[in-house]
Amino acid sequence: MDSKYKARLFRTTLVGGALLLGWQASLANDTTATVLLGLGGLWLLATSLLQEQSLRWPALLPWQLVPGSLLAALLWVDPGRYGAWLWLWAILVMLPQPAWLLPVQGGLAALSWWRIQQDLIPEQGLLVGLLLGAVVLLGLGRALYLRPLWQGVSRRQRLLPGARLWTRPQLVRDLYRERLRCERKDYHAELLLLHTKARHCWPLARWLVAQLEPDENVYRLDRRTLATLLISRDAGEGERRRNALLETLSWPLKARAIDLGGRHVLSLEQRALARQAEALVILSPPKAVDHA
Amino acid sequence: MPSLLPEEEKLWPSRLFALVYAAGAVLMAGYALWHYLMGDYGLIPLPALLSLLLVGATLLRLSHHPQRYLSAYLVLISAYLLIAVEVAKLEGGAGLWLGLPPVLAFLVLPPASAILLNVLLGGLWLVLLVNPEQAGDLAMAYLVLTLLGALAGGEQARQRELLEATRPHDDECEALRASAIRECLAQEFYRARRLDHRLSVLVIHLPQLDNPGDAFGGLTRRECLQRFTEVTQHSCRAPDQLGRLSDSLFWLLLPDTGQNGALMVRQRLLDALERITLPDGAGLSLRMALCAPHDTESLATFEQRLELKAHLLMESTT
Repeated sequence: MDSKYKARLFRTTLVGGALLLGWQASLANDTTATVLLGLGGLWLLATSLLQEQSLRWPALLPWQLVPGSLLAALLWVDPGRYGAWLWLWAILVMLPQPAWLLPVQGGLAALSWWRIQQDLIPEQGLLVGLLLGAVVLLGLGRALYLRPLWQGVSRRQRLLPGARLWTRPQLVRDLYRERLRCERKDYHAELLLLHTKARHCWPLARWLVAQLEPDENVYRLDRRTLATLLISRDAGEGERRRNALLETLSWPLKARAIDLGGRHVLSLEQRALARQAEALVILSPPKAVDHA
Repeated sequence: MPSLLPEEEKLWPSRLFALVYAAGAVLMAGYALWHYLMGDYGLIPLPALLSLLLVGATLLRLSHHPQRYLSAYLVLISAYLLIAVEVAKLEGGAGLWLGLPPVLAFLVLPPASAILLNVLLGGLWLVLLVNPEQAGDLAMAYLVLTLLGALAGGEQARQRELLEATRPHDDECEALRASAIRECLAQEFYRARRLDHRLSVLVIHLPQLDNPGDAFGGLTRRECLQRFTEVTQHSCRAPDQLGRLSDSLFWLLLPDTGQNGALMVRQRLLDALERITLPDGAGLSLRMALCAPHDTESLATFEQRLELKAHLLMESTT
């Protein structure tokens, strides 16, 4: 209840920001500035609409470049009018972003400063530069505080609260557990890797969660790869269940079924799946296991 | 509001903040010195005062004082004074300087306090820095900055919540939290039915964790909790899962395990836990009960029985 309210508040703020930028765009003197502000507004609007979506998967694209480049362009086009916006760089640096992006943002900020100080007397320009450096450093400090939070989110085990949809670290744990359980008890476990187009990934994941038994989970390995552990009484039933599952699927995909009886490395299998030409590859355990 | 900062306290970002504050102090001292050399003695007090304030903020930031978050306010006060008194005198560039106060507030304060402060001070900055004909435009710019800063704060809050809602582990120890272990129980229960295997659950009660805070110190309590989860997870098997139902109540799920296996695990666990000594020299006291679903029992009644068992365990200690 409380968190729903907060999510709604955040969305309202996003829409408010979009409207405000839109209004600014309509007031701008310069066509380029209008376009840039309009784009910024649209970006905020899209963010508010896709909020749910961005929760599904941790963001893998450097979206932080969008506000950064828009801001740099805006300050370049009309430094006189949007001078106050220069300080926003400190807030942009605070956002979670991959380390390689920070020098890029820093470079863009320096460029904006250079453009702004052209219209100022040298002393004032220098002062602005020093203060900008200081607030950007403060922003970096803030980002360092928040790092454990962002890292925790990108490494979280469960993708969505309440759904049987997990991430790679959880699959690694579950693989270990299931392998041990299979060795101890006589049931059959199979790792099924599915590779599909990025846009099919989410509907496929939801479909899988609905189709599988309630004690089986779905894992997301990357933008195109999903995994599940099929647990069945014996190899025959496992094969029947897998075939039934793959036949009813309505999305084009490649699959790789790996018997947990053998030794396999998850990341290698995932890479092999991405390169494989056949629609389905089945890796059975080595025959030696049967004799033992 | 300040409660957010200390728990995230990390050494190195804290030093970075202190470094920036110290650089500000040096800058202000230099400015005061420059006035002195120029003979403008009347202008010296303000930068000298700001320099002292910033030195104070730096020291406070580096200290381990519980109120060290106040250093943020010292910095804000100095920056605001500087902008209000010195910068307002400068020719032109008012639009540029107007952006600094709201952004600075977002950098040193938690988002909610920063928004409040910006809204409260907004009018003041517009009156101080801006001449009337520009006021409309710049008021908008101020609003945009405050709103965009608030969005960054909102994004943080959202991510924090997501992390909280998706983390299966308990806040204080490595065991699963109540909702997660209940979910695991449901899954294991279903699988045991589907594949005709056995499932056993050990209900464990640690009476020493019962009364938070009183005779048992907070530190000993945490130690007790950590040693218990550590030893338990070490002495049970990999597929077994430990979860914490309440302060002092735990479930250990033993999948594919019949009564004999469960009794063996129980014995091994008791042996290992017996060897724990707590900082105050006492041993760990615990009670355990074994529970397994009957052949025709539903999940709901099994859970009821588990709760009954837990209740009996807790009664027997008092």
